[in-house]
Amino acid sequence: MAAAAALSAADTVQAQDLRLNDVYKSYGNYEAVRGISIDVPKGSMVSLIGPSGCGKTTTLRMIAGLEPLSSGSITVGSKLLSDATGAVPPERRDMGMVFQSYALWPHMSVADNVGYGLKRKGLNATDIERRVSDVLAMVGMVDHVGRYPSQLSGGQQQRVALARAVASRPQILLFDEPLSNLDAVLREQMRFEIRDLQQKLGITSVYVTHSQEEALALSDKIVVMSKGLVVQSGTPAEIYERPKTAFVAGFIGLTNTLTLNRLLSDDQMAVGSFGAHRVKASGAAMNGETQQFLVSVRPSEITLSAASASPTAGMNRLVGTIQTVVFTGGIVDYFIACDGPGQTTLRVQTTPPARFEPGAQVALEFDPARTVVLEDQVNGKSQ
Amino acid sequence: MPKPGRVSMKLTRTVTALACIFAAAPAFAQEGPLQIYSAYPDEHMKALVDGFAEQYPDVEVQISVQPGEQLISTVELELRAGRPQADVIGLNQASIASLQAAHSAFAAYKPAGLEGVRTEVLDESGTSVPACVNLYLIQYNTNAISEADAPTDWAGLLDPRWKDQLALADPASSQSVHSFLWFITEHLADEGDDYGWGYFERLAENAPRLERSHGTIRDMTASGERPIAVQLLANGQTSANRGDPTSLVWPSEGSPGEISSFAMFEQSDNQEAAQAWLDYIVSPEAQAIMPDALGCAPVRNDVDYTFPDGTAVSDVTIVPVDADFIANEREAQVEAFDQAFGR
Amino acid sequence: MMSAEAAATVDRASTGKMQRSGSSGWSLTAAGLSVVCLVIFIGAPVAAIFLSSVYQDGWTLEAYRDFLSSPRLLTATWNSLLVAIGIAVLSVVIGAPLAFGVARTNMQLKRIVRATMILALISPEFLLAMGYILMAGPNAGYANVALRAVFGMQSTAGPIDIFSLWGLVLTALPNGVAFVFLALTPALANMDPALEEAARLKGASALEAIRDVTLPLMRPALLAGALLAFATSLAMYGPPEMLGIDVLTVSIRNALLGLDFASASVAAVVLVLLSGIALGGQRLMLRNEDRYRTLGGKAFAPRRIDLGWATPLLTALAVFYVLIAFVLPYGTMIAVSLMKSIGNGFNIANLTLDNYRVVLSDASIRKAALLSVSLAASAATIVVAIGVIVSYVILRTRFAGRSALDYLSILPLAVPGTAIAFALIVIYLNWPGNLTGIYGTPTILLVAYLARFIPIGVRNGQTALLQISPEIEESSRVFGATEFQTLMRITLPLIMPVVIYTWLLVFILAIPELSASIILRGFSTQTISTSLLSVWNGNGGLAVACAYGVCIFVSVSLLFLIAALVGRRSALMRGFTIG
Repeated sequence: MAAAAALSAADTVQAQDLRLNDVYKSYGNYEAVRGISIDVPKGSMVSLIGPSGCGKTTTLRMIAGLEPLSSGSITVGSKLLSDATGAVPPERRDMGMVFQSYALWPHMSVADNVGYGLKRKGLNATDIERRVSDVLAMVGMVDHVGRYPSQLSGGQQQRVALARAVASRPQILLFDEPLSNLDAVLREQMRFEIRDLQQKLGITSVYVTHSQEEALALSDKIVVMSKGLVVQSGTPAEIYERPKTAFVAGFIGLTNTLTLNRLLSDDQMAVGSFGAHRVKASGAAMNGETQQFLVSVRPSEITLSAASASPTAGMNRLVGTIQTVVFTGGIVDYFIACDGPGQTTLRVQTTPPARFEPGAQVALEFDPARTVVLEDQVNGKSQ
Repeated sequence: MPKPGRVSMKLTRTVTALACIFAAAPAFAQEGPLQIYSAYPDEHMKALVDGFAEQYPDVEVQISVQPGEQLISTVELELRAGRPQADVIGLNQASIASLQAAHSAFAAYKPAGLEGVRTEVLDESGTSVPACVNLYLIQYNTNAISEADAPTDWAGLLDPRWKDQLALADPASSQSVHSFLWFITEHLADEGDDYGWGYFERLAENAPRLERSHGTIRDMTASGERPIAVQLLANGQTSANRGDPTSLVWPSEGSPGEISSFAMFEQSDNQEAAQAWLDYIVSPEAQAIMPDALGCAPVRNDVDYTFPDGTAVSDVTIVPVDADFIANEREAQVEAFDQAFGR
Repeated sequence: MMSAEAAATVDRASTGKMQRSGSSGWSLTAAGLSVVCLVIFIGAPVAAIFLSSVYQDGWTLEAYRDFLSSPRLLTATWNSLLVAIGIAVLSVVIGAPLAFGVARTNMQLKRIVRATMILALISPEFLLAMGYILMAGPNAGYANVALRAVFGMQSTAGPIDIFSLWGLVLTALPNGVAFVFLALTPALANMDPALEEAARLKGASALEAIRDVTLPLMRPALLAGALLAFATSLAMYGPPEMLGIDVLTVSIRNALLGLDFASASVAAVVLVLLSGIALGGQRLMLRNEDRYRTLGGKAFAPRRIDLGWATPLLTALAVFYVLIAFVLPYGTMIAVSLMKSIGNGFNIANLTLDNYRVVLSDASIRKAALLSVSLAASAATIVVAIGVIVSYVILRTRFAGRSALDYLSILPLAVPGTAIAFALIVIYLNWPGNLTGIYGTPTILLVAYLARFIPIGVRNGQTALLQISPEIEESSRVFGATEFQTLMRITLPLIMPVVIYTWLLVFILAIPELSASIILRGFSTQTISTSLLSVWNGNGGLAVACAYGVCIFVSVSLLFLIAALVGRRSALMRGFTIG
């Protein structure tokens, strides 16, 4: 990646905003995408995240022009790419894409793979050769230019796929779960390399993933999808810190949800009871008839102390009994049965060393500012 | 997925290119050579073609051989489609007559050489030109049957000891064998109980094998699979040339003579060459080689001929067949035959 | 969430390059081409068969009444069915143990059995018939003479009569056995041996485990193979013709010889319906195969079973099969091909190479060979092209009705060559087909071959395309290639091994095509098979025919060897598909 520093100003592209306006996609009776609008500002990287079947890959394929739209439209700058009546074919969209399977052409060498798009653009052989070695240098693969994909490791194939995607300096770069076939160590390394390259080239990018870590690490903006709809979008910090629903809270990071009986609330905060305890939370206004509401609190936001210790002022406080302690290197996980309604088990993560044994009585304290009211309706079930 | 090597890609291109060249090949034009449909085998036609080439070195001759019955239907279909694919056809006189009756497909032509031809074999209408007389006789395998045991007449085939040993061409699919049917059921009809349709009813009891072609029967006789058969002279000739362990019997009742003939198509775009072929067929030169060529007896009076076993033509009773009867009564004859054989 | 206001600022003028959903110029062309080709080469002939059976100078069912009142045609139908059933049943009886033996036991001669199976499939059916007729003619067949001598029989005929229904069954049996064998071996090799082991642990013996576990699991493959054997037996023409046995294909030919189009069409309809039912059943079996599939992408090392006393029995069956299906018939042919006179036996004085000299020097044989090779090459090329295009439309586009293309493309599997030839006569003898002027020319043979072999092209094309992940092609689109460029630069190079293999397979199968060629034969359309049959039927004789047959067999086998070497690169060889 050292060679990335050698990038000239000419290698950055004239970026454009990418917009999806109320896009629908159905296959027969099955509605894969049910009306989503997404704004990808120029030069930024937006992640689409959600469980499998949420419509994120379909959305990406519609952006690439590989799937027609049922309704809505997709535009880049002021140019219409797709609507219900038709689409600019993929080859005229000036996009680059990294596929989940890499989709390298097995009958072509690394150089031919990377140079393919340039050839289609009509560049001459010398220019192609120069550009190919430039981008291969960027991804540290310049030594493998004559190899065939089957002779490369997974990580190397991934780098070639990345080089191929950026070689023709596309307006838009698309990533379809590009790291899901790599092992954990490589995945983390590639994550940074991708982000680095995208920022240096300033290419407007859309990144589809089901991994919250990738989304958080890579994106300027995260769009969380579920069942064909956008559930929440925002910066990584917004999504993490102020999830709107239990689904978002659970999908982006670990969380505990508590069902509270409403005592009082206003625009900024709400107070509810959890058994004998009062829990204060921050969040949006709620319907006046709401009897119960959900709050989310991250395991890492909770501090543990001996049940006998005196309460800290201004913090929510629950008590419970340690059931399990799991030590995973950098983190100690406690699973704690709380005194309260139902059988609520809370998860708490602290840095080592472990200070409590299973069976110990502990107090759980957490900041009301970090206790977030969720928009979900309570259906009588809590975690 | 396997990576296809460059070699295989080059191979592909070569194969594709070759295929394209081949693809163009079947579209060759149809003009120039004299094209002859023949019911007579290639090996028989060869001597005639060679002799013709000596007299007409500029004419290229192409032969396409099909068994008689199949050739008739091929030509009928081609006539229905618009035009025949050949200039001349070589077939027995009766078949040519029936084709002519149905389609008027042939052009009448009387070569000068016909003057030397025996009148009883001539086609009055001039549609077909007689080439030679092909006789029916009995062929038997000498390994399986001694000369003393061999039958001496057609009636001898009715002997029960020939059960499962006989072969005969199937009248449903052979045109020639209708000459034999005519001979037994019409010509000899008044000669007693051994003849007429009663002959075939009794022959059926010997379960002769009915084959489509006389050539197949010849090989079955030679191999011993069906050691005794009703056969055409031409095939006996082939057996003799090849050294098969077979011998011929000249039945005492006489032999029906089928007239092997040629005729030219009206629509031929090679009329001159076609006429040259017909001229050649009745020329003394062609008639002289006829026994070696079509394997049968010449039709000219002025050509001497001795059968392969030394029998002279004058020693054999040759009965010219009634071509009109055979052409007109074909279906009725097949039906009567089927009845006699219980099919 | 963002607002929809962006849409208002869209510059409609710059959207001129937009295309209608899912239909680029190329895929439209491909779909159009597919429809036109399949309708002309397949739809029209099949329609012609059915129409001509109910339309003769007006709509009528008279042809069917005549059929039902004709003892000869009813006998032919009955014979066809008996022979096909006999072949299917015996094929399973012989093919299943051999398949099991080769796939799962330690029996001997496995490679030889496999090779014999493949040779039986690729070599023309009439070659074996020739060998059997020489071997098992009741009076002078070499096998009969030998058997009579060995067992001291007094009779002068038998014990085997090849000119019978059983004889016909025997003649076509190697082909049927091969179908069952090739349907079963992959299924057996892929079976999880743990399923049998579980039965063994419950106390079953090796043979009981096979009976209770293996056989039920193999039932779909077994039935599929048997039905395929049934259908191909219905379609065969050469052997019954040579043995002189009335079956439906021979009836079609006889009816056409008498220009009786009505009987020919009804015989063809009956034949097509019978084959259609069998092949429909076969497809159903294979569709349900998923339910029985024991393979989940895992590779099992097929475990060999020691059957104890049964192993030598299997080996003996293998020896018997190889002798009957290969060594004896072809050995007989080679022996006869070296004889001066077939009547004088195999001895020095009667030996000659003349028959081979005749075959190799005869002008009309050379012409026939050249025509067969060029027709086969043209047919293979067009079949492969149509196969790729139609498969592409079926698997890679979204046109409505592409599944109809799928069914149309495999329809000819149920239409025997004699029936196709009949249909082509009807089409190209009447308006408007007669305007093409192709009747009687080599082109009409090409049309017949296309109809017969398009199913192989389309099936192999689909298998090949299914091996290629769509992402491989999509990435090419994203990187600037049009759909057509993608096909040429990405898809075609990747499926090239399958394309070459399919080309060779069609080439090999088309060279000895008999059943359509003989009916459509005209002046300059004598092919290898029709000229061989003509030589066999007297235009040359049995010995020359044997020499000719040996030459054909050697050439076809060599070609297949090449195809197999090419095919080894692709996974297709395992699912060896054949029309």
